[in-house]
Amino acid sequence: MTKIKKGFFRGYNVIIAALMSLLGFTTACEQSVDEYGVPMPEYGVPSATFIVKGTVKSSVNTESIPGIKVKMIYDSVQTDEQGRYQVRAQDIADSQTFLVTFEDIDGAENGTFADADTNVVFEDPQFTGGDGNWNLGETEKEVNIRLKPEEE
Amino acid sequence: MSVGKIPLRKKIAFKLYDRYRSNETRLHQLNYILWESTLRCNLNCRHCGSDCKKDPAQKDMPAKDFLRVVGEIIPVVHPNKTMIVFTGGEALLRKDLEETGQQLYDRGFPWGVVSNGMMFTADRLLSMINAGLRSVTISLDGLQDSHNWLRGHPQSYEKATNAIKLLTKTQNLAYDVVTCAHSRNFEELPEMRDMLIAMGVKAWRIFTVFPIGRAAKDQELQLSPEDFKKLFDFIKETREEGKIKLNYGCEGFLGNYEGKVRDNFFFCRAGINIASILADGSISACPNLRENFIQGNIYQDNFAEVWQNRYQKYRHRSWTKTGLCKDCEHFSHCQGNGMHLRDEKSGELLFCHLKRLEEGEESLSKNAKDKPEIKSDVKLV
Repeated sequence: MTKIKKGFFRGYNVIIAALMSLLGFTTACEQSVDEYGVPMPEYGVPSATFIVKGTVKSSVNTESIPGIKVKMIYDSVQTDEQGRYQVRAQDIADSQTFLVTFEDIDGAENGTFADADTNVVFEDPQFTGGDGNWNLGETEKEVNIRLKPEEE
Repeated sequence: MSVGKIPLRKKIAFKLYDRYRSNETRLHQLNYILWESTLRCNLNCRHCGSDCKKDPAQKDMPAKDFLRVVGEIIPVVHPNKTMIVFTGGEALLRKDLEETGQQLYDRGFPWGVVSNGMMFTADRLLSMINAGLRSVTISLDGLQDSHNWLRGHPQSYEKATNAIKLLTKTQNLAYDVVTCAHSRNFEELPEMRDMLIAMGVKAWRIFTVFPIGRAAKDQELQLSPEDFKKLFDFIKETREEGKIKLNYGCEGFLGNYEGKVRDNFFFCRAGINIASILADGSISACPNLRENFIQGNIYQDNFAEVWQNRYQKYRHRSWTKTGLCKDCEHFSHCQGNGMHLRDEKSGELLFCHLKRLEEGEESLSKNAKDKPEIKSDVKLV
């Protein structure tokens, strides 16, 4: 199966998860629908929430850039007026690497910047706030990014 | 609670979940591998679903063979997102368990173990944790007498509860207790729940005995339709109480009980996300799927190629629409029940959870109606 097809089916399942969530069946899909479809089968899988947060600034004058789309797996947000963002993903509670992308989607508003991406590595992460069950809690990393202005 | 009266909201959710299941099947991302690491066992359980033999001479698969297979699958999985679980027999009988686990850990795979607790000591637990152990499941099949009866060993209950106590004191390790509900322990389940809560256990799973392995010939292990229905009411009430996270196992479409007795709707992920390597090298989906469900053998086939190109029986389940399933209105939500509940040779359905629930409901309702009205001679003045 091609990567595009895989992406399509994964995206499709995220939409289904959202619709089921509206119907009050949130747990059913959210536990199963992250990037690689981690299931909760007979013997269970310890999972956790991985949070990446930080700021996006210009590489030239260090000014904060609002309106940049930040995406990690299926979670995406836009940076606020101070260039801040926070994205999260649910995954097996172990060392993980996530690709986080930064995309200027508001055209000339707030300046024009080149897209960027970075791999965020969680090595032997420490989790807090677990429920004493399969959910081991959450862990976070701060990633501050400088985007290069694009020439007019 | 009625099994058949499904609210519209849930019916819509079922339809959505049908599509979700279909998409997951197309993706068939492997993320769970069970290794039947040994057939040796230190117990002689009445309900054992595998081909366990109490024979110390039974040869285990060499760890290097399994690790070679793990190496083969790396191109099609993400190691950090693929759980490997050691089952048996009794996995702790393998002396190279930690060594093998460490090698899995070094390759980025989280690993876990399912155990009867007989050899579960503080030292062994520490040794496994040091080798990267991530999850443990302990089997506890009732209070003392019924557990020992089912497990065929007078100390098995003590050993299992000691293992659970050790786990409740261990930080950062996921664990749960799994219980096979049968006619002898059915009445004990509320007491068992209270005991587990008092011990500090947070996660408990109950499954029912299905008619394969030794259990196929032992009617005493099966719950009556009435008790089967009551079991799901018990699970639902326990979940609503919220003191322990109780789930019914991953089998059987349950009608209106879906969403009430386990975290997710029914979805048999065998061959879709789950594969097994059996003791003789057979490549299957779950360890209790044998005979015609075998997809290859690690000594003749490349595991990754088998996973990518075979498993058609698991990924196209229209063949299960026969017999009882043929005219079932819930077939799209159930897809012929769990694969382990189809006969290994004929493929016929061995057990329908929904039908058994309906029988139980009907019988309980009939009994209530047949109950003679109690007439009193006392009159209010």
